[in-house]
Amino acid sequence: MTSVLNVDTIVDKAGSGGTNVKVANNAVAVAEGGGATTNVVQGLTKQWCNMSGQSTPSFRNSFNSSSITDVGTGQHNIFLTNALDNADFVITGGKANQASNAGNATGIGVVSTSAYQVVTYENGSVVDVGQQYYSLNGDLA
Amino acid sequence: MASILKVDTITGVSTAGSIAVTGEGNSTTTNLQQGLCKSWINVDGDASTPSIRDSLNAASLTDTATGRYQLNYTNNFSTEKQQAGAGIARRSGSSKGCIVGLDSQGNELRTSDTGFSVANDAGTLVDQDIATLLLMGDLA
Repeated sequence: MTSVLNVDTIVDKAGSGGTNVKVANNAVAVAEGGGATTNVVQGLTKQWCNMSGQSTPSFRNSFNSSSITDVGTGQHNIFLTNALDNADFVITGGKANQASNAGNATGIGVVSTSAYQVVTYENGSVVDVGQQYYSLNGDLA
Repeated sequence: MASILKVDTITGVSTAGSIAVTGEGNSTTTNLQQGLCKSWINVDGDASTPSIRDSLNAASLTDTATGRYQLNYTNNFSTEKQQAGAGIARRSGSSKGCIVGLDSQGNELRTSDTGFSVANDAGTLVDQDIATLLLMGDLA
């Protein structure tokens, strides 16, 4: 029999907040319009970071991000704490300009289930960028 | 002892499609449904027939022109005005920078599909071996 849980707020059993609540990987939520359902776990962002790619690369703030390695000018490998199920994930991101009115582009380099490479450009040349922002959606292992 | 609640569907009481989740700082709540990504795709864009490698809420992909594609959803959005898309691509055979953007391709944005295009760092539309796109908004 199909079960339905009617609640307004989800918190952990200690009542201290939602940070310890676990959701099964096949859970669905009723969509905003009420006409469909959407998979909760597949809809969650699995990794994000606000990072600096200058000098010694570092995270300012992040989720599921373990480390950064500098692999060349404008090229950084971002490593995940918890790996993905496959390497066919989605990266979105952006960067701030280092130079005024610079043409921007960001690319993906080599990807694996535990890391991805980002490459930052301005006016067609690779450049180390102080403000970079990325998020990852896909399936965790 | 950890407690486990087993259900098939999570539904709000006041509004079926609106559930509040306590935020990380414990001082506010965030909307579960609106915070979920509603569609994402990883596309093999430079194959003779471009295909979807992995996805959420993606029924099919149409190759409309060089560097231009149309993603057809399984479940429609409630309005074409609430979608926000972003993505990054990888140029075939190199790691040059690329830009992925929503592209209505001469049409109004629709609730059942969206066009997107991939340009290289020179601004030229190109087919890439990896193109990724993510969409937020409200489902119907």
